[in-house]
Amino acid sequence: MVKPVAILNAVKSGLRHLFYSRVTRRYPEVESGLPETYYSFDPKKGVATAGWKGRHYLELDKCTGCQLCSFMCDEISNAIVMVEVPEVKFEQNKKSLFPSIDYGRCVFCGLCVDSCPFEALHMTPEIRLADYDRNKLYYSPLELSIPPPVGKPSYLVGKKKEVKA
Amino acid sequence: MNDLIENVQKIAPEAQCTVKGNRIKIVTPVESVVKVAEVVKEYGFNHIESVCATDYPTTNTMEVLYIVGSVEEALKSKVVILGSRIPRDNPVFPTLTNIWPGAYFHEREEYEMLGIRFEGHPRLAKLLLPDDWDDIPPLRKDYHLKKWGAIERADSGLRIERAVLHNPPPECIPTQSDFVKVKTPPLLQRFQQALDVPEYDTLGRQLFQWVRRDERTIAISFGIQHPGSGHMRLVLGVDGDIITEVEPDIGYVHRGKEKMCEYKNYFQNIPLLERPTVHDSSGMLFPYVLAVEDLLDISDKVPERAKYLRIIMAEFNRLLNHTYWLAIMGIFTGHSTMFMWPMADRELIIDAAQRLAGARVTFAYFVPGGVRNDAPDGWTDYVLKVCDKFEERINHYKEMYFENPLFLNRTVGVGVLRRQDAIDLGIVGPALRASGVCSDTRRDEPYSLYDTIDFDVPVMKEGDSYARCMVSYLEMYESLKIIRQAVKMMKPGPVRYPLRGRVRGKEGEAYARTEAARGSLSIYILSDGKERPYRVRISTPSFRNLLAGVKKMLPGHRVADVPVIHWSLNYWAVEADR
Repeated sequence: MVKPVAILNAVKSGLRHLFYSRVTRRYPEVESGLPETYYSFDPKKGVATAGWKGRHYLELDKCTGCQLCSFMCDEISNAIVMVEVPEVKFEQNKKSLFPSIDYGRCVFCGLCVDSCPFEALHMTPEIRLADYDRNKLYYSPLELSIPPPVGKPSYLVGKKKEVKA
Repeated sequence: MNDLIENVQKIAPEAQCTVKGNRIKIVTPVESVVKVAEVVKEYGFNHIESVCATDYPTTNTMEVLYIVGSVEEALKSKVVILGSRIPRDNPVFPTLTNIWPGAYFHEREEYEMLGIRFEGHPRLAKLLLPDDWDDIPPLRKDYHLKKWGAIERADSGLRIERAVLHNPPPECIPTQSDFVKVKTPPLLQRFQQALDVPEYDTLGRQLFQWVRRDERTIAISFGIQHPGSGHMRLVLGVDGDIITEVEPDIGYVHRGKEKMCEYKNYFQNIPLLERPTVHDSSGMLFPYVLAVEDLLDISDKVPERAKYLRIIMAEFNRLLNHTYWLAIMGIFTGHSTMFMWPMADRELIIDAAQRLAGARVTFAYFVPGGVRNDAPDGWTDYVLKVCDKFEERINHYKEMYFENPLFLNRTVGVGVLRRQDAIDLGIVGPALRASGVCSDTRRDEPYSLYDTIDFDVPVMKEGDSYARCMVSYLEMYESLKIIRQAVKMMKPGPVRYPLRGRVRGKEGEAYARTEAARGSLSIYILSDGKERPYRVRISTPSFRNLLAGVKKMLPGHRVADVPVIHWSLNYWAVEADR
């Protein structure tokens, strides 16, 4: 069964690969090229739209402070803590209670997005969250409400959003 | 099936038999368990899948269930759940390792997790728990997981401050000593007095004593820092460099998933359960969602498109797992090219999966009721392209690796597992199929529309390391075939049956098994009608394959062959330890 000559075939195959284009890319200068869409959840249909599960984007004017995302996360990774942000006042959120997310704990499963009944939480293509300071991994609601430079939720394309802060 | 029930009731008239679909449950008093087990074995149920014990403090009993499948053609789709109730104060159960030798590690695990003494078991000792475990058996209901509750809340308070302040003072960070303070007092003595098991905490010291040593043989430790062992240790008895005896020491990455599952609801378990095998994350979730759907009575409401998307995702994960495994196999056989190629080629599959599920490794894509999201536009064409490209890539592996004498010399005839041994020891997956048994859950008990898809099950007779590698390699082609068909058969439509409000399972049990990448994976869920499962038993292929490696395959080989044999089984320590 073992043919020593067959090793020449392996060498030939390896030599042929010298002329193949290379499969690696110069990350981070060259990005992955995947479509930069948000992962969002439509509570009426009960189905999400495909997209990156990276850092969250919080729409402050939709969040009612109902804590459902926090309850879901409690037993998963305990990354979401509801905090009071008194300077942000909205009609639907009298107590000014918003989620803050600890990315040192988040496992990026996206079940908080699925549990939001008001479509206020999304996940974005921003995945480079590493930092030298552990405290900078705590994202306050105001930081979460800044959309990342890349990508847009599908229903927001062409619209401008104003964030009072 | 009726003749089996008749036979059982002839021998044990008080046994209760219930048939539900393909599951036959036999509950019998503990005195007649051995007799009934012999009848079940003789009938053809020869392939042990799991041993599951459950604690019922309210009725002061414990239930032990043996879940047994078969590799006989007529019985492949059937599962017998044979069990009995025993008093909680004196949990003694006759061992069934004489009937199903594959129950060896399952019984040991249930012994340490619930304190059930299996009388006649060859070696009852700790398996997964740490050597210095100083508490009652953890899967008992009076062992509570949330010891850190107070700390968690205090920690949350600090985090709130930090999140609001933006510039937190550094002293807010909880130190390690905060966590040490809440440790409970040792209960080991209580445990020993209650159960009369003085040797319970001495595995680490005993392990070397178990291996027989004389003037010719010595015991050496293979692992845990050895790159060829993964997060496990093998204590090898060696004569020169010929292995005479093996004792595995596993549990280094044990997290207690079964206990943790009891504290989370059916959705919160999803990210937890896919963690043991990150290369096969959807494969790990597959039986879980099937069992939960059974408990929620929504099995028939899962949309067809969701079932096809699940198939595609599960096959993606099989490809990801097999390419990763092949890459490491290349390293173990000293072949760096074979490490580089699969590692680069699996990026194709990862990209396709990421377009669908948004993550690269842990997708959390399956949920009870369907899948989380529909495929984006143009994804199906992209997948077909990726399949073509990937198939072109894995064609190269054949002449580079599978026909390469460097590889053949290391694997052919090494680590032979005979057919009968494989069946007796309850081996699953490519390792079982490489020993000449055609057993694939996708075909034996088709779930999730696998019966509409045409694919082959590669089987080889040799049973050596090469056959195991080859079966896995050929499976990759079959996976591509399945993906192509599923993509074409998928019609537009809903992908998820929405579950609203608090999801509660009906009272009862559900047992689901699927073919994960490493073999048949089964999950048993017991629900008491609440939001959280009462008991979850996960029986993973790596755990079931461990016994073959240590008892049948390694002895007689040289120490240098250990990595090859070990990795040809595709043993993944995290999956085995859970």
